[in-house]
Amino acid sequence: MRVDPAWMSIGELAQALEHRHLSCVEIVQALLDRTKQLDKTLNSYITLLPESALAEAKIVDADIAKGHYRGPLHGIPVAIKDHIDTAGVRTTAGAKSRITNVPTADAAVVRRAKAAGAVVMGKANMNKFADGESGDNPDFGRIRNPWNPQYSPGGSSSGAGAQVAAGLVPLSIGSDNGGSVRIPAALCGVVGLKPTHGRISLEGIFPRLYSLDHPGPLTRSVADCAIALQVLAGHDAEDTTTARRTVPDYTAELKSGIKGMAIGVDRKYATVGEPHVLGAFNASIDVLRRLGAIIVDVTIPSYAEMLAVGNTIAACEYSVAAAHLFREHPSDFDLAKPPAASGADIKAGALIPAVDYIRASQKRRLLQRAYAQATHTIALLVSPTYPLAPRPFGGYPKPYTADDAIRYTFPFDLLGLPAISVPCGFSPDNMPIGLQFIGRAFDEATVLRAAYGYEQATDWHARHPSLSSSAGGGAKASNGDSSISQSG
Amino acid sequence: MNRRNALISLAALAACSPGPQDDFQVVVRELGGFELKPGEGSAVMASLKGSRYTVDVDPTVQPQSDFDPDAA
Repeated sequence: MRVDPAWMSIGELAQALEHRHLSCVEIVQALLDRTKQLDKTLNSYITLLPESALAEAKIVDADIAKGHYRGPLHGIPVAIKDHIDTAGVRTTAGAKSRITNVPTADAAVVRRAKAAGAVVMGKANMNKFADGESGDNPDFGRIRNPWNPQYSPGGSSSGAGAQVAAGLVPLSIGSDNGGSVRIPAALCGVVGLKPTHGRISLEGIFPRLYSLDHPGPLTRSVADCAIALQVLAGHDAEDTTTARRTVPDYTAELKSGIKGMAIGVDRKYATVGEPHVLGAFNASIDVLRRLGAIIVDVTIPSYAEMLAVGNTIAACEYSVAAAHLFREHPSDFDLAKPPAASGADIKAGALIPAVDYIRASQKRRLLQRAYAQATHTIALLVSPTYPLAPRPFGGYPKPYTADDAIRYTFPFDLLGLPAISVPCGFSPDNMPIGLQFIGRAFDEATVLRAAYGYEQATDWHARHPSLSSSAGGGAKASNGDSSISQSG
Repeated sequence: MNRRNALISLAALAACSPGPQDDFQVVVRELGGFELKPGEGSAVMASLKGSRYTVDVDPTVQPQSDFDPDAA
């Protein structure tokens, strides 16, 4: 009996492909069929590539039949956020004004994925210009949360979170400069990793915030995330920000457990959030303790200070990155709502004195030192990923603000540290909640190891949303309650 | 107060005044390279005030340009 590729892990798919229990064409066709059924509701893709994906799949099958199996991403379907260049395929950054932008070369992450044999299924929908975390794209439509289409999937890698959670693809590559990988991962109940700045090349990715942007994978399991990082990580001569450090074997120590591992908690920092989010977080700490981790109280630099520094850097960098877009199509910014930058924000960013930017950059280094000092006795810090449970589209519930929304994610973009979100519970209305592990610079291996240990001790990751065929047809998109149930 | 901060302070006054925003228009055009839309001055100023890091930092600290803990 054939199994459904929709819920198979990358590891399981790889085994099936290598031993030819499943062909790549079968896998790709099954996921394309599922996408055609469900994406009318989810709207997770801006561009689906059925013909090229099937053509690539045939080549994969022929190569494997000849004994040329390349490794665990060979034949694995992958989606790419639509601000990451793909040769010959339009790359819009979520803006219709860029619909004619067809790159002539792949971005570094796409080159690496393709070199490993991955099959590109399409370009994922996103918050326009990777700005904000609403999942509400005014040009290509709302991306909907598979757990309830009335709810936001988070953003800005909104399509990535939705399509991985809905079983449309086992791997989607997104990017994060304030939480844009980890927030949709948390709100869609999947795994999202933002590696250390410099671990994965930014070459060929639409620049938003030069020193804050991080590409990263979204998957349904920590092990799959490790497999993806293994392929994506490494020095790139085309990106001077990438590190020359050796890339370790991320799967080698995944199963080593966390017994004796010192894991830090900042009780003052981790106090902002809805009660069931904080409840799930506290329950997760109990799980880690039961697994043998040593929970250590720490005090990291204040969020207010990190936010002030980060906002200055972000405002300046975005004003530079977005200036030409704004001049060419000012109306692209008319509908921006906080935390997305409006035209006024872009103009304001251009007025910030250079001395402020330099001061903020100096302070950033001091914050890195202060954080390193505050956490020198621990291997990892844990926090909630997002202070709120998934919610219907719209603003923040009172008293929460846009600054609160990125409280647990933005600081680690500023500090450049690796951080992963894994599912850690569900809200009363059956929506997923995320737990974040933050590691030392370039120590993604320990981040993955702890996240794996937690994941294997719980069953949150094993639950999947199930969208009925009526939801798939889009007819019940306005009636999410009746079209969504939980399985697995 | 240095010349640029003085300019911005003047611009802030202009932006917050109920009258014509000609002065602020000039500042935005000359320093930022953008044209101000009618009535946009106060929104730009509000954004500017929320995006400036003005705290003095030890001047011997190198601005951050990498994430290597050995270099930090």
